[in-house]
Amino acid sequence: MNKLAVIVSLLIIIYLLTLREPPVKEISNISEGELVRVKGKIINYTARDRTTFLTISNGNKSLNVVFFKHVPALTGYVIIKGRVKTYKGKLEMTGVDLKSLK
Amino acid sequence: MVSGLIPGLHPNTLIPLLLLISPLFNDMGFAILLISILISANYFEFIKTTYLSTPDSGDVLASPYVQKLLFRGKGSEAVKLLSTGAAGTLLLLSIIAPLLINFIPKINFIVKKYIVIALALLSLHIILKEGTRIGKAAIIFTLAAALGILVLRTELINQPLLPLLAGFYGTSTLIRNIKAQQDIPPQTKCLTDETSVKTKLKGIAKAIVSSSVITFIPAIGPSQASLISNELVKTKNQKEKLITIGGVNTGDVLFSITALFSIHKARSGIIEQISIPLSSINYLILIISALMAGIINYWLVNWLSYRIGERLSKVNYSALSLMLIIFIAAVTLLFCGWEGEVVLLTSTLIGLLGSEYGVNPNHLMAALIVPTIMYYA
Repeated sequence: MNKLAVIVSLLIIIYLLTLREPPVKEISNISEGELVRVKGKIINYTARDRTTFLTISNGNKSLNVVFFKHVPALTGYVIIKGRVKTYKGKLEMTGVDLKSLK
Repeated sequence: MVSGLIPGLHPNTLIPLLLLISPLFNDMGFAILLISILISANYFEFIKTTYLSTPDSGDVLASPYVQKLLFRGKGSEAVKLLSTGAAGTLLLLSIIAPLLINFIPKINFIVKKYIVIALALLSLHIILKEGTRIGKAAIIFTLAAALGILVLRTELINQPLLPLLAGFYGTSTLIRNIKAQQDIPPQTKCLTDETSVKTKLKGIAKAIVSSSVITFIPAIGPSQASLISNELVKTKNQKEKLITIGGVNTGDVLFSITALFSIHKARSGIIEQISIPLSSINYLILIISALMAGIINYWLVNWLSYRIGERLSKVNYSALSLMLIIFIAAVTLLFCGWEGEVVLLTSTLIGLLGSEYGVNPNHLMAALIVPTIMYYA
């Protein structure tokens, strides 16, 4: 009974992950703690030690994004999915997924 | 004290509040306050772990042992062992850490190189140790690993460790307590120290080694580090295990201070807020502050522990357990949203399944170990 319940709840979590797509928001419109997708142009890229640091901008505002995995170098506009966090008093995003808009 | 006693709270969650009051202090005063808060929280978490069955990530492995002691009327002994580990580690590390400051960059490089192999072998070893229950152990390991990967590598929820570990080691234990209809027996005061010096020294030594690993490998937490040291240096001595677990978090604070001054890397949100010149004098001032906080909190926690245990033994523990489950669920909803509740439910069910199978609760650590292996592989 317990095993069945565990499998069902794991399936619910997988559903939450695969079928739920957070809204696309402007960089200036995000707040701490939310899972969002933001669109912007990559203006800075650094990769080191299994971590990738990006900065994206919508022309007015910029946002630093950290991926705890290697992300290949890209240019142009991208949509990044991630969770917004505060780091040293500034909003930053921990990236989960990145899609190039070409 | 507050962040140590309340389930779900961690000193890092107090950072916004602390930044509000920071103008009241100069930079050094604020740094001393932050270190004292970290040390104090570590000590008061022992009370939460023992009497409320709601361990933080650093103390989860203590849960099975302290539960046994609590229901034998020896809750204050459990807190004493944990706090002895913390105090002993603090004392020894205050002397050793300044001597290690120049070696940390070299050790950092070596540890990172071999951590994946160490964790993979450790996981295999723990499963194989189960003997006839290898199949069931593998099931629990796989389920916990799957949940850990889903939750920790996808940013599904905010603050994922809260529902993950609260479910594995907190709410599942509380549900078992409710089913057992067991009340806390009258608690005895821990008047004499029957633990041998050898046991204390071995436990503290393992705590120091474990906490050094956490400093060098950001993805490793106190629970994984304790697991590594307790498996590598085998002991059936539960007192020694508790001393190690109690020392790991505190050792991590001291190593974090050392790492800040040595390789300029902050290991936690609180340490990051320290903004004083990174000189030898300032380093020593912080170490001495940590030591003084440790001494004061050692006495305070042990004094409080018996009194809390005494009052809890007069309370209906099943009702208290139910209230704590509701509290954890509420805290999870507040910090992690309803998705966090789904994770809490899943981790609770996996914890209960593991208990039903009778396998070692260490297998639940797969939720942290496997994502760490994936990160470094």
